[in-house]
Parts: sequence; C-alpha cells; structure tokens
Amino acid sequence: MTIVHVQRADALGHCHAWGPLGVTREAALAARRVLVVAEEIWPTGRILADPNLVLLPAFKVAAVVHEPWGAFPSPLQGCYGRDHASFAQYHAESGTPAGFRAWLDRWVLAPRDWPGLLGVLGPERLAGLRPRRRLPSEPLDYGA
Amino acid sequence: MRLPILALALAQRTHAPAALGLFENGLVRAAPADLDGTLYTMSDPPNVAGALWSTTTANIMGLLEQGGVDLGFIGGAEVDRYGNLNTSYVGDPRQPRVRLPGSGGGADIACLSRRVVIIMPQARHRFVERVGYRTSPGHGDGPGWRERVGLPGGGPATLITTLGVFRFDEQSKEAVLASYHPGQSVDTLRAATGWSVRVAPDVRETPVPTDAELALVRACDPERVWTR
Repeated sequence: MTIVHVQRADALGHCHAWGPLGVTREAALAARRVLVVAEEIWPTGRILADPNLVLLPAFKVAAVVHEPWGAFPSPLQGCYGRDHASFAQYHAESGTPAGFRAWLDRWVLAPRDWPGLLGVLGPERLAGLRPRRRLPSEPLDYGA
Repeated sequence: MRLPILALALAQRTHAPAALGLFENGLVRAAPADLDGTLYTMSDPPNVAGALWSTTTANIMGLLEQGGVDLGFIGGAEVDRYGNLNTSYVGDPRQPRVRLPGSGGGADIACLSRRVVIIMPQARHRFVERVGYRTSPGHGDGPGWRERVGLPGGGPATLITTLGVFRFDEQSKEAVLASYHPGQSVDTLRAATGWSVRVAPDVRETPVPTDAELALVRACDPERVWTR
C-alpha cells in the first residue's frame, strides 16, 4: 500500500496533485492499493474536468481521507511551505534513543489526532507557512 | 539555498547564463527561484514558480541516463582518494555504527553525469583511504575502473571542501590538492586528509570571490544558513 497526500480529491478516489511530483506517481502506481489523503474534497465533476491532472486511476484507491495540513511538516504546492523548524528539531532531538523516544512521545503518540497535533502547533505557526502570493495557472479547455 | 542550488544560481547569474538546473524532485529551472526569504530545499514551493518543467524524478533521471547532464553535484559522509562516496554506513555494513540516508539520487548522478563535482566539509575522519561502503562510485579502484565496469561519463573532476579544492588527475584518477582556502596551508590540508595526498606543483591559495560574486551569494542566502 502507498499513502499519498494531494491537494484535492473527490469521494471516489479521483485526485489532483501538482508541484514537483518526485516519486509520488510511481509510488502510487507501484502499489496494489493507495490511501489518498487530501487537503480538500471536491465534487467529482470538477476533478474530472481535468483528467490530465489526475494522479492515478481511482480503481487503485482504497480510501480517501480528508485531512487538512496532512503533509505537514513537508510542503504542499499552493497550500503551505515546509516547516523547517520541525526538521531541525527532529534532527537535534533524535540523535539518541532516549531523545528519539521523547520526540516520538510528544509529537506522534501524545496528540489525540491530527487536529490535536495542529492545536499544539498553534494557528500562528501554521499561518506562517501559507503562500505569500497566489500563482494560478491558466484554465484548460478539453472541448470536443 | 543549499550549496549546489546556490552554486547553480551564481553560475547562471555570472559565467553560465544558459545553464539549466535539473533537480531530483522533478524541476527544471533556467534561473534561480525568485525568493522572499531562504530556500532550504529544492521542494520548497517558491522553487516551482518560473520553473521550465515540473515533472517526476523518473523523467529527470531519464535525462541523466540519456547522457544529458553535463555536471552533477554530490556530497557524502566519507570520500576517498578516488572520489568514491559513502552515504550509507559508518562502520561494518552488516552492523553499522551509524546508518546514513543512503544514495538518494547520488549513485545515479555519480554514475551517469558527464562530470561530477563533490562538495564536502573536510575532516580527517571523513577523508579516508578507502570508503567503508561505496554508495556513489567515483573512479573506483583507480585508472581504467570506470571503463571496466561499464560506467559512462567522466566521474569526479573536482572535490571542493571547506578547506581547499582538489582536482582529479587525468591519468592517476586520484584527488590532487590544487588550492587551500585563505587561512589554510598545504600542511593543514595534509593533516585533514586521511590518505597521503598528492599536491599539485602549482598549488596556491584559493582565489576569493569578487565583490559582485559575494553579493550574489549573500542574496541567495540572506539568513546565512549555508554560508558564512
């Protein structure tokens, strides 16, 4: 199974992902089943209006999870930047087994759920990661 | 910006305006990202704006595999006299003292670029006679090795460190000290290298950046994260 985080998906597993894709598409296609975690849920008609932007065929998708900020502390194009402090903190604290354990307890095991983690981080920290400017693309016409 | 991104930005703004940057995450850029702050990684969202292509790692590696990359940058935890790099294990690979991140795109870049520049902090324990694990091959065991194992591309040309610059000899394929940075000397470089390093007959102090070059570097790293 592969888990991917995308900008938007419908309830059927059709999802759009954009930005530097890295190994995202290959990782999804290599798996038999994919868990899609989406920043936003969109109606199917709006997703399928751009089939080139669809990341993988929906028949491989086992589930879609709506989880805003789900890529944190990694970046998501158009949504939020990388939280450098999280990486620096992990690097500083995980050098010993005890340090790693303390980090794990605080940041992974203690929060009740993802919104719980976001609550610990606080709205100011998250707001600071938002894009400073919008960069929309041109709409496409798939007219036939 | 991290050093290779910063070096590319400097090159594009000075002696190599036509240089294209290929990033492992799928980006191709003709000019540095327009920044409002510090670019820490190639995947920071500002690196996409103005990109010539945003695609997959596989496509970038495909270009590399076709022989399309003139210059690759890599670094490592350990390097040896033939420019082989270790980013996998410190100690016995079967029971390592430290497990490092591994190759990433490093092995691909080391094998398939037409020329490689290695960038590393220098310390004696990292500049070893023979790397404990050959993650990214340079000139292997020495002259003829790359040809014997079927690696295209020229391998490492230059090793740039925090203390000096080494160039790989065309014949012997080993790193030869070409220059020592201001504040260093041939003696300090020998002391910081874990093999008996050859020194170029015309070894000299590394030229310092011009004021214009320094201004460009500062503009790319305003918070002095990667530079001093």
